[in-house]
Amino acid sequence: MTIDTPIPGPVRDLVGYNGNPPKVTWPGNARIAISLVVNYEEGSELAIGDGDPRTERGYHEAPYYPWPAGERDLASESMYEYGSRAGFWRLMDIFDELDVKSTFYACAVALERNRDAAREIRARGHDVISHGYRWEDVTLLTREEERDHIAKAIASIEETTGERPVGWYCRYGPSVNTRELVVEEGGFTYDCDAYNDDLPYWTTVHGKKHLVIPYDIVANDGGFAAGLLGPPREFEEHLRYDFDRLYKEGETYPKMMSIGLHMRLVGHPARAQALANFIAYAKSFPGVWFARRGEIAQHWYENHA
Amino acid sequence: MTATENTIAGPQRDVVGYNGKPPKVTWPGGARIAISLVVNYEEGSERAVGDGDPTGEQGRTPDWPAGKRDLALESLYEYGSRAGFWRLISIFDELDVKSTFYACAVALERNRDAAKEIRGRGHDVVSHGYRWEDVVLLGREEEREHIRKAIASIEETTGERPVGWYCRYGPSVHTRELLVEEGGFTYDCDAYNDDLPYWTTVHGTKHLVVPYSLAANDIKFQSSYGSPKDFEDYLKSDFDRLYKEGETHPKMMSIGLHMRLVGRPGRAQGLYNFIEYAKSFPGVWFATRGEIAQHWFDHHA
Repeated sequence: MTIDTPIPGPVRDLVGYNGNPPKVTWPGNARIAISLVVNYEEGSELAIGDGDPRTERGYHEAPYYPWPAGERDLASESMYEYGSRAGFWRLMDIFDELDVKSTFYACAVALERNRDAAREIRARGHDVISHGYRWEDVTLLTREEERDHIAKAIASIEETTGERPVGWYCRYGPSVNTRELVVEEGGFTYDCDAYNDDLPYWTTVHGKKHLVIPYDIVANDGGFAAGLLGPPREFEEHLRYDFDRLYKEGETYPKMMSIGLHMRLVGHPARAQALANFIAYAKSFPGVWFARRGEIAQHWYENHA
Repeated sequence: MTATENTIAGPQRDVVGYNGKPPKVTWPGGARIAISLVVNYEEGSERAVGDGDPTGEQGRTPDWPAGKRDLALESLYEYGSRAGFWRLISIFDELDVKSTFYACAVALERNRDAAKEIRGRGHDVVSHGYRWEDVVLLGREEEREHIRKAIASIEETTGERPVGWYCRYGPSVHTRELLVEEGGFTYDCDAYNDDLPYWTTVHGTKHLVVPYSLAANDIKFQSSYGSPKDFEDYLKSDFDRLYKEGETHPKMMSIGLHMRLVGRPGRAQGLYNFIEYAKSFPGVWFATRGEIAQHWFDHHA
């Protein structure tokens, strides 16, 4: 049995760079590019008030506490609200304090519901890419619906942040249609719907060259919600170890490090402190580039086209 | 998609809050941080076969036969009221800090000397329900009745009626309306969405919300915390960041405690270490929630 039989969606590639990644020279001769990613979801998750059959009850401090189906889970709603009301501003302050830039994976509807915050993102120098129209599982949409949601997301983010998004990242994972639709739309520079490498790579979609910048759900504060990360120190340690190894590899083969953040998780003071500790640690080394994903994409187009 | 107008039951969602501009708070004595230790007093009021519930709390396995007592779990709960309570009370005395008890009325009825000690030693009492129960499963009328019974019971066991309320995990869409309707509550804590108290409006009546936390909470000993140091580390890290923010914008830090969890000696030692650490800094106020509410009424009305 081969894996050559065509099925919908991207062809699998288990080989990638085959042990010979490109020799990357990041700007300023950096040995490592660190992409801080803030997921801006709160306000666009499943909610009874938005006509959904249930509240979003996972990915927070007390996931899936037993609750009657169809009833508003006000505790869950409230835990999400912490993210946009408090966590967002704390992360913005920490990035300012440490003078680093990030990329926001922003759900369009979430930004519509917190317009001052939406404006602050680009105003403070951070990047914005689309994390969907709402924070939604796109595999549940038809191809037409997904195309429509992409269009709505673009228009909405252009309105709330001043510029259309040129990157895309789904909730957890794409559908078999996503990449084709993103390329078809024509205005995206890259997508991040991949977890399979430590560097960007080119792919081809119906003959068109398309850039993929992989993301990371392991170096990710989602572990706090999943019961995988205990105290904040464990997240800090994961990041430090990740950095130490990649910095060493970066002596000869610079790579990129993505860090996934959620305002309602790492936005709590204890965990934000651990993140701040890590950023300060990384900044204490020479040759460390805290890059926006747009900059990484730009570098790849210019140097590894 | 525009912001949702409130066409459904329950409070309007607010994902904006203070919009990045919280009030500039000056806690009493110029404190930079208000720390609200919260002890959940639940043991004795949880689901139990002996109280006529079809099943007890989640214990050994999810498919534990209905109606079969899980004596091990009952016993683990009893640790809380028999041993954990007294250990925490002693630690608070030793370190001279006050706390707030989120007390389930029936639990206090079943441990009357302990109930008297709470206010006796200067701690606050907020109602955590009539029993430790999911109020979402009660109808509006039944929930109103349970609120009334909780007030009367806590007045009897502790000498004063409660003026704060906090549900088990989360409120129903009726809870806040019923509390405001009842008329004697100063605030509720059924919110996890901010680092400071805030005002809300319930059918035209101004009402104070003092948010709580499931993040700075010993329930994580049931999931991701292994060592007692894990909780101690969380609290110290929480404190460090809030203390720094408190240089210009003082906030509050809620700490959720359960007598059957953090009341275990090793974990209590971790809590002890944290309180000692926090007290070593100037401008740290270990406040009861009643005091925080009072400050908010006096200065941020």
